[in-house]
Amino acid sequence: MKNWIGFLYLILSVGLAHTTLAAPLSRSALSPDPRAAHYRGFIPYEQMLQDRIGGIGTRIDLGQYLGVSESLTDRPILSLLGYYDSDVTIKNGAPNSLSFLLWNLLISGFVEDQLNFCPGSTSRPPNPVVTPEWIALLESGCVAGPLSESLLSQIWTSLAGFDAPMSEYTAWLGDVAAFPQPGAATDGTDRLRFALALILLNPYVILE
Amino acid sequence: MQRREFLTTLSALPLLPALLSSNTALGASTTPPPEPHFFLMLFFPNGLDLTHVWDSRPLAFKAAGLRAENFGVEPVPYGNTLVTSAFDPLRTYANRFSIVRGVWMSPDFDGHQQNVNLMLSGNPFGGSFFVPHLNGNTTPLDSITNRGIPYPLNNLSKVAPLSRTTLNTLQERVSRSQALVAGNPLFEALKNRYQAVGLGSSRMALGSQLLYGGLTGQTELHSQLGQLGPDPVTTGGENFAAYVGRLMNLMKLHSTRTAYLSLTAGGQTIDTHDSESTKQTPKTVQKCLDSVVTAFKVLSETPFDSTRSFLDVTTVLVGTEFGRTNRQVGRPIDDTGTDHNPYNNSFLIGGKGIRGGLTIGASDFETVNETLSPARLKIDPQKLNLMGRPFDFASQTVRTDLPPTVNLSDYITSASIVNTLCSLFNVDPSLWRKNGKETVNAPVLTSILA
Repeated sequence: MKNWIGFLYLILSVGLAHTTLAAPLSRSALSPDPRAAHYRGFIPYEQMLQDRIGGIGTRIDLGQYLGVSESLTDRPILSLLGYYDSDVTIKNGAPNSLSFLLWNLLISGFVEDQLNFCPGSTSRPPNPVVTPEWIALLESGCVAGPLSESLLSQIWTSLAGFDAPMSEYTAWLGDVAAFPQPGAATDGTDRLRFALALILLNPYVILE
Repeated sequence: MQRREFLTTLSALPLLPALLSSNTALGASTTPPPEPHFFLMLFFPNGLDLTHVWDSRPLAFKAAGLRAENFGVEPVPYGNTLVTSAFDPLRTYANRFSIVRGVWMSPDFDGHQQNVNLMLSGNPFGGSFFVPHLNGNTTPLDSITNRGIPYPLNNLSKVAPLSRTTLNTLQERVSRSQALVAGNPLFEALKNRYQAVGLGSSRMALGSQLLYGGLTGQTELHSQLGQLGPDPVTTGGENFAAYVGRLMNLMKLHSTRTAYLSLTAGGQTIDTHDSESTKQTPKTVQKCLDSVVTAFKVLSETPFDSTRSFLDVTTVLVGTEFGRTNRQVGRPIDDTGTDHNPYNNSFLIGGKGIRGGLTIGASDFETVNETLSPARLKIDPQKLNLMGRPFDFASQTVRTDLPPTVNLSDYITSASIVNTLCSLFNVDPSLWRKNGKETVNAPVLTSILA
């Protein structure tokens, strides 16, 4: 037992020493570890959604959720979500507090638009930019009460494809099943909002 | 301790640095707020001819066919320089800033890109942007700019390009969105995923650790943007005074300590290679100075707290890429443009930490018949340029000798301008600038430090 505690103390000391050294750089202007996976980038992410759930002849425009439209060069704020320069190197690909805020605004806006397909919504768009199959999944996923694993599997695969390992899908299933938290008043729409955002912000979906 | 508990603890260790260094750092709540010190840089790309404001020359230069001069009024003395009437609106704030003349940019390149890169990163081919270095590590954003920065700088991921319109849009979106905060089911679920995937040192694990930091850090930024509130000035467009006020309020909310604004001359051409735009130079510099005066007015008239204005807590740098030549070869003096001159730039530095009312450094060729140094005549035998004079950093005075060769350490350079700011903001000396291939950091302009 004494050996265990000694070993733990050693490990913690090394860990904290590392933290002490790393902390001043945490918000620093210095680049983060270049080995870290970076964002897919704004355009590839948008294209990913287009490929997976985008309707034929339509275009999913994620920029609108940050209040910008026009070309990428005219909306430099989108460059913070990661973009590929002419030298095919990702720029601004490392997640940080600013880019996460922007990604969350963008994704939460996109998710809200998807919830417009829930039965009873008064904001259902007349010309959807997503496929009828995806809309059907949303309609089924909005209902209160337990959802079948088959439905959940289709929702997961529609957004995440096969980019994430099975363990991520399993964890997501558990999170969705546990929603809402005990005692919280909610409905099927709230659960679907939670479920979609959790997929779209999953590391294997948002990172390259 | 159970073996399982120990292993659980052990497995979380790789995350410790990320966890403790995130914006919810454990030490953050116990650290007293630092003394406020902000930085505002107003930069005019394309080489604004500031010799039409200060560092001016007598009209005798035009009479001698040596220099395009379009004010047509004899400049007047100010400190150790001559100023034109374009300087007049700045006189209100003259005790809050100093002027540094005779600044060498890149002696090897006269291109726009190289000289902007040199100014911003210390390298003509790009590198690490110095403004985030001034910001330090204490805020969610490294800096704010008014537009995208189209230069090869490698530390822009937390430099937010927020024009007034974009800032207002973002603020409005944030205020309408539900904050993703601790306790929120999505926050907690994401936190768990990022922690779980973040175990280990794989690419995805490292990326997930960054996501964790982003998730926890965005809460603070979300709150700050919410506190900023809607723009009190409801007129649209890029109202510069309103914009500067918004930026300063964001700084007060600790979103960042710095802002870099790349400015234009409001439709006037700054890069005056052709004679027509050169003739417009008085109007061009006036347009540019309008922005500078506006910034000083907003900063000095906006209270930071009960005893200080924003100018009391903000260091301001105003500059451009490089100077301009006196004329072009083979053109009549009444019909000439001006080209790039990296041998003589000048900067206005003011606000917190800066002694006001000084003019330091100097350019040569101050009289028509001045004897110029062999070093500068070798570079510019046709006397097209004004050039920075050698400077004695020990005494902080202009040297009067005429060196036979150029050694950058004999001159005020952009490296000294940046290092002076670095000293003010206590930047780690490893991030300071060096001149060319020298091994020591470029000297600080100590005489302008308060």
